Amino acid sequence: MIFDVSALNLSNLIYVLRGIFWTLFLTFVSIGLGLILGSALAFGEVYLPPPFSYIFRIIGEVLRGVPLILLFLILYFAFNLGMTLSAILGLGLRSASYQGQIFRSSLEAISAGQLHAGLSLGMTKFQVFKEILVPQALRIMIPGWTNEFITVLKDTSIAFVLGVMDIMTRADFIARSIGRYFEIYIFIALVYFVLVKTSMSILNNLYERVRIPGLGEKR
Amino acid sequence: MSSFEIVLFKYKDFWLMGLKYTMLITVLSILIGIVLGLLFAIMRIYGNKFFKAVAVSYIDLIRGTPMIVQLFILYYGLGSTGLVKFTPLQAAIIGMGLNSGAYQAEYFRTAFLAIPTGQTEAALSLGFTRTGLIFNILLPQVVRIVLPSWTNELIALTQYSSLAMVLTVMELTAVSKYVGSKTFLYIQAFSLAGIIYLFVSVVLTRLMVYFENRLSIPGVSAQKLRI
Repeated sequence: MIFDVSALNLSNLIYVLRGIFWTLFLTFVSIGLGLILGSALAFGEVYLPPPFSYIFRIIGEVLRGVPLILLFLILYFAFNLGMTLSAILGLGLRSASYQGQIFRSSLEAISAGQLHAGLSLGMTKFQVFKEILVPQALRIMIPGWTNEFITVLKDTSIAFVLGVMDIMTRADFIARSIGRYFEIYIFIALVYFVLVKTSMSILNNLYERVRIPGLGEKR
Repeated sequence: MSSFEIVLFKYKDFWLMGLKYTMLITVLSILIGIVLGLLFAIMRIYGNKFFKAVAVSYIDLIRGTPMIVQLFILYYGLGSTGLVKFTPLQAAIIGMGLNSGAYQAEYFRTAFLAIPTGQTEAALSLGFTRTGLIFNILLPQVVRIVLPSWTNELIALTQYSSLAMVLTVMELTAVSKYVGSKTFLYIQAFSLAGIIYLFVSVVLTRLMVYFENRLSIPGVSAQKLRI
């Protein structure tokens, strides 16, 4: 039989679905880490004087130029970090390099006139940043950031090579033990699809809710 | 001999093999992706209800699931049903081609939509057929608009080709892991692989920028000065 529905019995499904915890945990932690490190990277690249800004730029280029699996393997085998930490750091560092780009381009999208206007009104540079630029940049960021969130969500499945017990690893485990591959993999493809679509609609709703009318595109 | 030289020279043939497979997978899958992407983009823009629905659901499903799951469905899943049995290399190339097709369909679609509708109306009023319009008027411009996205896609595929490792293809990352486990010089082996990946993406980027400049129509798209 090509598609044997009995392979998808309740106990197998529950075993696989318990991996959602790890998938979401990895996604949220590494997105958070990426947000913090990414904004540091973006600030370093834009506001530090040349010799230092080059270092930040090179770090970003290297992180973006190396496959995720290789990053995982380096952290796991060469630095001997545990598998969970390797997965979080690998995803987080990679995401930082992309989120840095997103953050930088949204800061640059706000016209420089606003910075000058703020300064001429007697605000300090930090105040202009905190009160005027960052609130707008964060809003402009959301669409690009939605894509990044989904990329990270999908890429958590690559942590399979480290053996983190996420959906992918659990599915592989069950598929091997019962000898039915097609059904189980189709099932987790659907699980990922539902996760991706749900997070996409939540983030799009968030964007619509916090959007300043007239600023940024309507989705 | 320093440890780096051991890793590089003693396993030279392995590195060359890894580079060969990485490039083979990348280039063939992007070619499959271009054909599929164009097909699905045209289906989505010009197709009737049925074709549109097929294209939209294909693009959505592929973009909504991880590539590693797609590769596993293709290799282990289809392999176990006995319908089609791919070799690991075939599965990697076809899987990544199918995946790239969905992403490229979106690039092509935005490129088609970026061309002013006046051109379509003008061509139709001059008696062009739909096919003539798409292939003679729109496509030459679309290809030029889509080139920068191809560069990104090419780099992304170079990196994602490392997923072929889980299907036991001996591409670059798999080679570096093998060399590392043979010599216990993990840091050197992985750094070398990283350097090769960076080198490949720099070369590919330069090559694509060269093509962009060669193909650009003066006045239609901004020329890039970086060489």
